[in-house]
Amino acid sequence: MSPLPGLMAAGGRARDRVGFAIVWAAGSVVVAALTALVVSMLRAGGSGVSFAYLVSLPERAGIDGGIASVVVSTLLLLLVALAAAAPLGLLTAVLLFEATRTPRTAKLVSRSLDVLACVPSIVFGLFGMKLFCEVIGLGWSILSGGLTLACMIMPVVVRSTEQALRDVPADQRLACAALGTSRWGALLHVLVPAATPGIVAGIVLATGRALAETAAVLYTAGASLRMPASLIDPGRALAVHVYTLAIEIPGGAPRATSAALVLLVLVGLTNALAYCGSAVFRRWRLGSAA
Amino acid sequence: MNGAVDVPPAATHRAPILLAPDPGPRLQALERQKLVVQDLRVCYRGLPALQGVSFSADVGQITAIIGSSGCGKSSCLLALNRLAELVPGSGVAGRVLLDGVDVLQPSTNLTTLRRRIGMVFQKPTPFPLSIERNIAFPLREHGVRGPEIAARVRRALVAVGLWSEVKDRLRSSALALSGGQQQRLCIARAIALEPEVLLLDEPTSSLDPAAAQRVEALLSELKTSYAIVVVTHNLHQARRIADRTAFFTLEDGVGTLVELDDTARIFAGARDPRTRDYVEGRFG
Repeated sequence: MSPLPGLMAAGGRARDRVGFAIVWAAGSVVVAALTALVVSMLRAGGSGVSFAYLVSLPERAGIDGGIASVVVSTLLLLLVALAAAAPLGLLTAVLLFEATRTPRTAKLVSRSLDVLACVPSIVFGLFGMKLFCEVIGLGWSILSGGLTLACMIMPVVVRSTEQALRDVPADQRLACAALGTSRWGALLHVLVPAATPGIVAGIVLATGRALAETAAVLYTAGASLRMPASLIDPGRALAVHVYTLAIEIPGGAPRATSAALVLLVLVGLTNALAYCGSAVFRRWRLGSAA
Repeated sequence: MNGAVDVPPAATHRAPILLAPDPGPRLQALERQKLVVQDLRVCYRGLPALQGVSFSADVGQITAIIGSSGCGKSSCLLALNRLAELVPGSGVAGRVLLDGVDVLQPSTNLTTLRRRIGMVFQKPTPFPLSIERNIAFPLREHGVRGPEIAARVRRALVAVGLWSEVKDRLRSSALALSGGQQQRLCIARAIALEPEVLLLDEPTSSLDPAAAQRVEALLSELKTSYAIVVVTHNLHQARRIADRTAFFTLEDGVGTLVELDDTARIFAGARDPRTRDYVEGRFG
């Protein structure tokens, strides 16, 4: 049957079966863990989540009412973090990518980023509290929290963007050079568009991290449950809300699970959005519209 | 011997057979040629990859470069528009005269040089942009503005025979085109800059026979306007389209030009036995 009988010898087949069994088992464990997580959360907190819960303000420290102000604060924090980290990260990545003439500088910057990526988020929280809240004087605010998050996700954005740029086939750069284009022209018009899916993936990864972050925003954005009126108002991130309800508010555990469920959905939505975005982009590239 | 080449070739290799016995009138003709290469040498990390290459190319003719893999054909092309120097550790010496001016001089404006010497690679390299912007982006980089851009895009696409195929989807992605269309787009992109010399590195080797045939026909049309130098592995192709053919080979591990002559002479009655062996398939 097989055109390659040697590969399908009896011993080989047995080994194949064992190998596949192990791989399947590993995959099943992962899926089971995820399913168990979602199911247990749905059972514990699913009943607490409703449309009213999403759009009404919290009462009695979150035990009653909804989480509207917390969701708004979270999204604002995310917005600030991305608005700061995305452009800075992109430019730093370009520096690292283009700095072929100063390999030492590039190495220094990239080592610093690696170290930065390993710093625990609580350290970023303390750093942000010192710098943004006290030294710069922004106080506990969405702005302080967002900027702290930006520092934290910056390495992820830079690294993924740099890698995406490096993954652009070398012949694209050569073709640009052969056409006598400037390096900036090549970067802006060819390399960045070609690297877009990778760059977007990196930013989504960073968004996920920022969305789920507790420690970095606890000391910088505060834990106010009021609806923020501006970026210099304090606000409570969803993850902080979950933490506070679960640990500090007696009888808050079921509401914590509900909030965690919302957080989980938000993370899922972010991923779905990025997936759709890159699918649309790919479809345009392959020209199914034509 | 070798009177037309005023840089004497290095003593370590055989001088290429370039000229008829009487160099007088040929010498003048040579100097009027669009592109004249004299004793071109290329090395990577100090190791010579190519040496003793002297030839010329002019508008109205296609010069084919043939030879086995790794004998420096592509290095030769990349040296002509100074792309070779993008390779770390590379060095290029000799003279490459474009209208009599040596482009290997440090003072050469590379942007202008690469506009005047266009290049097309083996693998089609469309940018991940729309068909239109693939051509418009380099034009803008070279300072072309306004309605001139659309006019040149159209002219270039007409010239490569793509206009009727893509005129209704100029805004859709160039990556959606077939391989042959992509390669013709790359040629259009190069000629939109109105170059004088067109270098092509195995432009049809990644295409199917029908698409390859279209590109070959296109090159034969384009040669009236450009000096074309094409590297090819396909001897039949050289025979079909080239007016003159150059044979490169490895000598002591270094690529060199053995012989350049009218294509008919190279394929029937080459002077050098190595050329005869190669074109008759007795090589190696």
